[in-house]
Amino acid sequence: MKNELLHIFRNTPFGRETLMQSVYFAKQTAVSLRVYIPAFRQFLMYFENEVVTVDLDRAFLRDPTTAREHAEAVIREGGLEPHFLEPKGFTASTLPDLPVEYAFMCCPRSISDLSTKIGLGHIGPRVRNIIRNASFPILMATPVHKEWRSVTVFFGGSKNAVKALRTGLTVSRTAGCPLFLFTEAGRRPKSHYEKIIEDRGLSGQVQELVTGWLFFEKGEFRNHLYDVPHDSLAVVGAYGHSAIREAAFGSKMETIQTVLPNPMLIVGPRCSPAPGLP
Amino acid sequence: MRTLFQNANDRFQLVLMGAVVGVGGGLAAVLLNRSLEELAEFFQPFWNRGYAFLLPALGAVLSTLCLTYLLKDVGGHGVPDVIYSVTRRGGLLRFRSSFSRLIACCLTIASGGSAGPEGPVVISGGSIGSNIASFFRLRDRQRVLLVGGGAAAAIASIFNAPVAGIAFSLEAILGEWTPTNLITIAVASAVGTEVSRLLQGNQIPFEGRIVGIGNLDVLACLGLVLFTSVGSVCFVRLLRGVRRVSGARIPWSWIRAGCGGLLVGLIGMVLPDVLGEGYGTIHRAIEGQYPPGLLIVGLLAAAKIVSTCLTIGTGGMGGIFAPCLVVGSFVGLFYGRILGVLFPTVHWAGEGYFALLGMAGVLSSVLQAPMTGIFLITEITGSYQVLVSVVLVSVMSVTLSHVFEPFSVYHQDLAEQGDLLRPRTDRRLLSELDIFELLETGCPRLHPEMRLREFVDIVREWGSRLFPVEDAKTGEYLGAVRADDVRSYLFNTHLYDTILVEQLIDSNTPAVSPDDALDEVMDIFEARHVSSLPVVHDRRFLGVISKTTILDRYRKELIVQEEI
Amino acid sequence: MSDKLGLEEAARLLGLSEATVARWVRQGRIPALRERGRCFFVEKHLRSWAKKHHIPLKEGRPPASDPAEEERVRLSEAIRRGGVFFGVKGRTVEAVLAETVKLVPLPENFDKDSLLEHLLQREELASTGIGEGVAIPHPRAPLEGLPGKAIVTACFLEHEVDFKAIDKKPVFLVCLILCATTQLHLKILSQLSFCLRSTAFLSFLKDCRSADELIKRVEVLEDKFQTG
Repeated sequence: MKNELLHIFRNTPFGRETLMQSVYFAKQTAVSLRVYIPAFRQFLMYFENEVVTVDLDRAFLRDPTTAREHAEAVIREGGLEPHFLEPKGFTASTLPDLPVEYAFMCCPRSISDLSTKIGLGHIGPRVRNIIRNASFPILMATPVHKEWRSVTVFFGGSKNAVKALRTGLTVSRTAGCPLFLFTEAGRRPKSHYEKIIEDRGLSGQVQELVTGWLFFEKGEFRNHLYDVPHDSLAVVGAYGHSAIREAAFGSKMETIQTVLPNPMLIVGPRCSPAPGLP
Repeated sequence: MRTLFQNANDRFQLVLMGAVVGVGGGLAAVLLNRSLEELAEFFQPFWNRGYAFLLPALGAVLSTLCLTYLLKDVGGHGVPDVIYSVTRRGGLLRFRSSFSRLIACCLTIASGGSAGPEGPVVISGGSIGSNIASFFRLRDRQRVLLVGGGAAAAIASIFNAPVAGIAFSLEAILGEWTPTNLITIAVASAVGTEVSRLLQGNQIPFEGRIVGIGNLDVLACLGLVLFTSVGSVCFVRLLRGVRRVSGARIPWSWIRAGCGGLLVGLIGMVLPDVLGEGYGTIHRAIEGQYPPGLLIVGLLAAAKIVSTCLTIGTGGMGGIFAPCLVVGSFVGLFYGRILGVLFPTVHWAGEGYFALLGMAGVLSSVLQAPMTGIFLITEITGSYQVLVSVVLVSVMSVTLSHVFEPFSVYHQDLAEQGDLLRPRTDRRLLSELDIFELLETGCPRLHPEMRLREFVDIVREWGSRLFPVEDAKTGEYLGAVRADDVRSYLFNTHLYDTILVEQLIDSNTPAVSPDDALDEVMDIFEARHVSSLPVVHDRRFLGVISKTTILDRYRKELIVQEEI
Repeated sequence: MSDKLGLEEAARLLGLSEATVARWVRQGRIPALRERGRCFFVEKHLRSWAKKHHIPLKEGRPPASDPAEEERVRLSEAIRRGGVFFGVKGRTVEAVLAETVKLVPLPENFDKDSLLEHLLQREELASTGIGEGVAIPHPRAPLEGLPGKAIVTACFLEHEVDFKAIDKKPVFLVCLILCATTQLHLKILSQLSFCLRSTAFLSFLKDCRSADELIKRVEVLEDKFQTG
């Protein structure tokens, strides 16, 4: 459903942290939470132009008898009403397909429980695939839950950055928290970025909601990331580059996600311009 | 290049894409055929050893392991997956499906599993079509056609039978015969056949010389219908039974497949003709070279049915096309020989004739696709003089077996899940619309403490017939009030200030959830005799869904599906 | 380019929800262009497609269902537009109506003769004398060429005329109502009848001598009508 956050629950302490972040995010953005407790190793998501197969590892299927109970407890503790997703379509009897109409989806950086892969600097291929195809932003949770009290939008002036900005503005408005812009300018003057914002008709909202603009004209990107508040939700636009291309040429998103331990909201290339917020 | 394609005329674009997909599907089929031959040769020396009966088990285990852990693809033998994707998911298929089934099927069949290569090749062809369509960013409508085209090309190429490919794709996969469908699929099928002819030569797979068909033979073929129908109904039911029992008893897929393979191996020790895809057997049957004996062919028919069910039903990868043909030829032989025993003085057209008809009958009724059966048999045997009898047997077998098994082996699972939605049917239309599209928002909200007077004013102002009542503070949905229900109070002006809205809440109005399928909602409309229902999620009122809107959208949905 | 429509506009034009149109685009049932990840419709193509499929288009803005907009229909405004006249001559219905039609402020090219004809036809069907000495002549159906806003011309007669009213009382006030739509007509009519229900207003009418005063009295009653 369009006004929901999809969460794939894994019945482990690590999964609990992720769920807590989803609960917090859903409360902040006033969307409902829809939890899927996997019953099979794989599920499919039929996006507009591609099917994405998500292979889950065993941790997602661990102890199915308590999974629902655990999830309900966490959600109720957070003050939300638990809604579970019962897949209606099955491509094969053990291969459910999940709907793809959501406002957000929460993914760990990698859909895997190996501790080496949980750390920073690694976004799993399936998660990338979801980002590339999804029509909704992806909330990338951190290993441990921490409440965020501001939103930082990485605004580099590109089309996707504008999408990210729109998303950031909506999140900041509904959550009622301050918004920071982060721009790594290079050679362009600040007015260039201001003009982009104005051209997209966002200047009014930006003036209303943005409390600070972290604008860097020189220096190294990595070092600037220290200025992002530690309790801020990072909103990043992502391109549809393949994993190979990103590994070879690198991208801003890649650097951000390796350096920044904050929770991130990744706005993919196929995201609809206005996320389905109320 | 993508832009060039997008701007071209729709039909030309489809013809062009159909050709591309045809090449893909054709190549997949040739590739499978070749590797099957190679692998079969590789396994040849092992068949003389004492442990040969273990081979099918080994193949089945390998194929399942390979599919689950290496290729990470789950699913059945292919065709139902394609049909599901075409009916529910706009023809989207995974890229990995285009090769995973081929590999698994090679292992199963070459090691002696009793199955055919057609199911896997259909999903490969379909998946190639689907991914090509996705690459060129085609829409669902075109993508579905290309999936059909890929499947048609695959069948056409593997049997060297272009028309059968078209018929199969239209009958079993797409489910409707329209001009646009036909164009794309015919092109793909023709190209697929040509690819296979270029690479493998143009030969009729099972050429039989059948001459001297008398009127009596045509009459006799009606009796065959009984046998083919019984055979196919047994086949379909046994397959389902084996799948259910083995699925429930043995949770590990590879052990399940191994057990099936082991049993098949044991049967194969006694009757080696049941092993593999059985094309050689068909050859001998059609040419009338089969060793005599009435009971032996009857036994073979039964054994082939059992071993196929054991192979496919336990999770071995393979199609049922080829086994159907083999079973059909045995059934035909059996019937022919019975005739010979009963009427020894009559000169019958020869065993090949009945074997051929048996194939047509069993294939048509197992697939519930008479055209496929007719064209396939005519094309793969190259004998057009039997056309009349083939048509008769196919159509009659389908009719008879339909009484017992209304759905084909491909459709029955989908029908059970409620996912068999043929184009332009009521359920299909309802399944495409979702509640959000029909939602009427923007009705005024009422509060439980409101007086009737205020409510009457709102009714006067707004055209809606259903008003949601919400808690003034929390915004929680409490129930709905129908404009019709207040009619009795309307002229009692002295009650205007004594009745509260909360007293008017209609308990007969259940709220529906936006997750509900539209056909369920329609059932509620019918059961409650109401014309509009509130849609509520998470205790919030979202809007009203009404029968009038549904009718309007339903009609428009039908209109846009028309081809102009 | 101006003839490109976004998803939202196209959905409104077709009278469907955006979700439906988006799905049709995905399914390839409706001609759409893709540009930078969003879809567009060429208006010309969309129109010809809709025509081919017999899907009615909803032109222009959605009908004003906004109650605030409807409130703007005010009787006093209509009277101000139509004017108030005193001592209108004539001793028969025909003569009075002919005189009234002459007084109505209408565009130059408006066919007043046909208006009179329509009024007389209506009168033949049933008297428009609604009692208490007031008649409300009007054409049966909205005439072409009328301005968008309602016009009410109030004519106080020199001589009382027998309009064959329902209560048999002779008529001293003729209120000609001209509206471009039936809905508008009904709204004006309901306001007028609300006013005439007040006995105070009726007695005021009997010796009303000033247009401004009449309009002022109507305004007061109107406010009462709006608030119920």
